[in-house]
Amino acid sequence: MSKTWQAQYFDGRTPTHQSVTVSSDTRGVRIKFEDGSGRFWHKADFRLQQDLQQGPVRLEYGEFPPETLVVDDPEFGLNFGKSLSNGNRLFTPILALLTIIIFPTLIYWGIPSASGLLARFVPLSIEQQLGKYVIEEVFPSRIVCKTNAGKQALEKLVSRLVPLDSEYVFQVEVVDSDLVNAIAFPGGNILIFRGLLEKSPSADAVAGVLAHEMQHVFQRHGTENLLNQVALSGLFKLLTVEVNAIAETLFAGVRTLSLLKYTRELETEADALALQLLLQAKVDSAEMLAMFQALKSHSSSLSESLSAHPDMSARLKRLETLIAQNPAYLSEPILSPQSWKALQNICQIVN
Amino acid sequence: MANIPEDEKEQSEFDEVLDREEALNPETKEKDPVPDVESPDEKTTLEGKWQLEFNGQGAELFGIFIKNFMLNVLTLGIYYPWAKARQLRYYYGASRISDSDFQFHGTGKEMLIGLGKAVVVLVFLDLAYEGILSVIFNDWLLGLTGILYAFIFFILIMIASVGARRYRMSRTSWRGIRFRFLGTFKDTVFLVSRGWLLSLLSLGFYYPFYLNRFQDYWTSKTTFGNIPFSYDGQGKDVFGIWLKGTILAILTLGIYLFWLKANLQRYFWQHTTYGEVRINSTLYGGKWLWESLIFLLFVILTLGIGGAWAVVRYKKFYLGTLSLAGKIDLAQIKQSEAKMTGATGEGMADFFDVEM
Repeated sequence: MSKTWQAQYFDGRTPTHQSVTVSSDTRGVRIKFEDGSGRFWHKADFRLQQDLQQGPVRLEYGEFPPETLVVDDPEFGLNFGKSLSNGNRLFTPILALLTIIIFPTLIYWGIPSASGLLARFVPLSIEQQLGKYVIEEVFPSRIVCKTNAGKQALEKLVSRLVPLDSEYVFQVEVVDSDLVNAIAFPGGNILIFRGLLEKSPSADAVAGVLAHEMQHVFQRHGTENLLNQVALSGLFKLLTVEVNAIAETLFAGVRTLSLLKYTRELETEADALALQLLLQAKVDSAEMLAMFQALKSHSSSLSESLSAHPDMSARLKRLETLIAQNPAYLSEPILSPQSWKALQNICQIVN
Repeated sequence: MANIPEDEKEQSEFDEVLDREEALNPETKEKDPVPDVESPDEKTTLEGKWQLEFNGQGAELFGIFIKNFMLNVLTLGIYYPWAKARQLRYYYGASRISDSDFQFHGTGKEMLIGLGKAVVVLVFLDLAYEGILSVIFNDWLLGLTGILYAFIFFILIMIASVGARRYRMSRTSWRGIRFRFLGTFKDTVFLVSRGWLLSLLSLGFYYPFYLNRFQDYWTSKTTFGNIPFSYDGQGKDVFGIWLKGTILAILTLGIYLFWLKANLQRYFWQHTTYGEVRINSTLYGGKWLWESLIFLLFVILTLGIGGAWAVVRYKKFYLGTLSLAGKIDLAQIKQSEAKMTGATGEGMADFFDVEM
């Protein structure tokens, strides 16, 4: 006894169809046309396709253009043990659950951890090349300040901060710009903008900022950031198979927010570790606090999640707690008043 | 119903080949030949109005998304072409008209090869460009290289658009008959460069005429079986829509752009015919904007998890705005030899994000 199904038969040559009755056995399917004639398709000779769970099931026979048999009842597919619906019914909820867990985990924990780990294995020489490349791309026409007295003061400041066993050779430049900021690049290049020197309450405060930037270099944050970006782009590219432009914009938003979050975490880490450098160099860490207070008035009023840097007030509070935890030590000013003056005037060329 | 002239000869040759094959085929030659004529009660002429519909389901599409996503992550993205093929098969299979669904025949393997070729070409070009840049110090030559690069980029986008359309159409079928796109890369480059140049020279006023021409080319080179679609839109109509839209867009700070886009698209659809069948579109800016916003909100509020449901809703809306009306004799439509275009254009299009 074999069950029969109603089906549409297309000959592949015109879009007209013929209504047929189909039955199947272990060897293949038997097709009965309305005029009584029939065909037999061997199991090995046709391809089974089912795009939707609710059907139809499609059998294609022969080379292009194939003859096609369309059976609306998805149950027909069960005969061939290839039905999509059965497998999917179990598979999907498990996968769904996994994804709900895995996707946020990947974004919040997986990517930054993996990047942090991978960044350790990037050779120093590659980091240096990368840093040079980025610096030239981002600040191609920067004006570097280099009065002699200023440079000497800067060197003094840098050499006292750098630990003796450092594998990095730091190249610190002061750029003639009103920006109140400093920026570190992979491999040991650091740019300090003139605005920061002018707004800074003391040389020790500049040392605080420099220690922070140096920790970015030591901890390979730049490289880590780059790896984060690559990984996130890849992840979102995978998600956006064939979606429309609106969704893509949205995903770009999530991506940017995730990246900013990573950056903030790196900033917080650099803050904490900078204190250790200051401790080793016996520089007053309270001055770093003073610097941040000065920066606070310059920082943007963006909410924390939209900013690359942690919220200043929160950052100050964290820093205060950390300083309180550190053992007290006797600090020495990092520069003499004259050297500090020279550093602040590093961009003023004296004739 | 006009055949494309150069195609007629090919068509009859192809029909002969099929006849010969059928005669030689032992299965059909023997006692049980397939009845050649339609069963008498089967009407081959359809007359009336047919609504396009999308009957996909969020839950099922969600399953496909998840599976694709997981496999992509596990295979570090190698699975991408298969994921794309699976998704396209679902979208096409869920799109129906007159009780028959569409079918996508592309395979992951094809698309992987296409993507691979595109990557090789793009990487090679980029390396060549970087290499050339590193040895050129002359400003004038540098500018020239830039222009050359832009030109090659333009050509690549054209290859991607034409290639992707050829590929997509040749892998799409309805009731067993394939679509085709017969546009050529050369004609497209000519049409587009001429359009842009004239638009530039006319300070943009030629642009709507170009759009109309492009739509004409894109539509009339697309066939279903042996019969091409036709386009009867007029440049001056498009100009009117465009002028009004542009002025209102400026006055409304760009918000009207949605309506402008909808009005143009609706006009293009409504002037597309297939034999004696005309497409009708009820795509209006307000509704379109509304549905797009709902889509966006849905995705945001569910943190992306609801994407599948949002896609289904959006597709139901968009296909719901399209219907066909008229009269058609299905027996007159013949399968044409599919030009089995490779998927390189499709792969390239993945990089440029073009879909014309």
